[in-house]
Amino acid sequence: MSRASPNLALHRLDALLRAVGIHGPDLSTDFASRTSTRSLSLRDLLLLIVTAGACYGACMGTFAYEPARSMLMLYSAMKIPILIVLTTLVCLPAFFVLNTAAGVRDDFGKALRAVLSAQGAFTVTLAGLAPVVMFIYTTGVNHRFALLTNGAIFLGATIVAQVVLWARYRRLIAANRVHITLMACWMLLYGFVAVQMAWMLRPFVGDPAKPVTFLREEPFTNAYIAMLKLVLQN
Amino acid sequence: MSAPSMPSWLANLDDLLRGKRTTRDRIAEGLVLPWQVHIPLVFLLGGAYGASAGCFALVRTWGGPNAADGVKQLLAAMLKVPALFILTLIVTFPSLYVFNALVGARLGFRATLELLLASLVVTLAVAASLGPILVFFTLSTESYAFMVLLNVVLLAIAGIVGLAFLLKTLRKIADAAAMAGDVEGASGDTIFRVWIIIYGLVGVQMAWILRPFVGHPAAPFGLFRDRQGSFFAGVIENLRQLVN
Repeated sequence: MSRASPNLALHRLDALLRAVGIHGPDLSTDFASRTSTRSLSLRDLLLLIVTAGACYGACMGTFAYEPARSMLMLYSAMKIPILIVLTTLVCLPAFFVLNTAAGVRDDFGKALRAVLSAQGAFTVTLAGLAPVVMFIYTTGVNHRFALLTNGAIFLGATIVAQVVLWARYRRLIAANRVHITLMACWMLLYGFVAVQMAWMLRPFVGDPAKPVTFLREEPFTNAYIAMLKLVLQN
Repeated sequence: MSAPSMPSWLANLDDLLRGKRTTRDRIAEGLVLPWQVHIPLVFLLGGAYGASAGCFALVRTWGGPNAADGVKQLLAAMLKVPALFILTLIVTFPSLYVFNALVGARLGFRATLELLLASLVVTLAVAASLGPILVFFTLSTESYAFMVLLNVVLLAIAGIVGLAFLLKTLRKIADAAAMAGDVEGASGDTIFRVWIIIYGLVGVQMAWILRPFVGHPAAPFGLFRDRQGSFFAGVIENLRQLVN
């Protein structure tokens, strides 16, 4: 098969993004049928999450770039997919058993697809905003502001992911209202674990004053206790 | 999707969790919840959760002079979690049985006991599935108080799911009886609700006397601690230590 023309490649990308959008692959517009938007396999979804997450991570790691610090780009590119995939793996057994106990095990495939689609939406939003973060870096902001920018972008991507999750769950909820509770359970578990996972995987935006490392040199600590101490000390 | 290769105990657990054993049709035919299968499952799933809880002591003492204590704590926790649930059931079941008999409930001694055992299996299956989260936090947390509180929260979640299973099944039993034109027997719904409170109170206090589950990394291994204080005072004390 010959290489795809740029136009076709763009259509494919478009189809990919639509597949993790709020309508999902079911959208039956002219455009969708023309580009054959169809359901992504779980493997493709995972591939999308890893690729898009790595793209953003690489850009995130360019803060205060100099050739000696280029490993930071690689580290952050690895850490964003690790953060998402590992958190999912930790929470998945509980989500599976809760779905089963709620009597909707037959919907688990759909629920998993909804959850992974939301994560896909999260990572493609991040990837789409990667140029923004690099632009902000080039304006010469300090480390604190760089962290703040990334925080805002993550918040934005989280909101997008929530919208997609709700939209994807709508049909499941219409069929059985217990899915509302299960979706809330997923969000709580995932959020609870993800905060700690992100805390352990620091630094994402390397502090120029510190040496380049994959993880912080100090032993792992608990994010929630650190936050509590921060709040109470002030 | 019960594949033929699935071992029978796993297929049994799967059916129970999916509610296949407690459908209206099954109940109308007569509920079968074999205790011979469910008691080993309580030990297996409770042991799995206990291992996740005991991991903290293992990880915190690993490579140190007290490493043997960590291993002992892990093994103790694996036994204590199933023991906690079974002992609580033994202590509280007689009262439930008496209440039920007094109001002339439909479920007999054995049927009630088997239903409660099945609820325990559901509870512990959820708890075991939350185990990876516990292990994950164990790897990164030094605070003993945080781990104790996380255990309380995760077991509470598991308990809520188990109780939902119990009440849902009771409702189906009442419905099935109503369909069969049996209006005499009481469903015992209210009694179960009151009993759940008793079970909960005995359960937390049982957990208190069986502690430590997590094992304080600085304390030498002991199967049990001094009997003083209460579960609720313990939770408040741990909350206080969280910020110190």
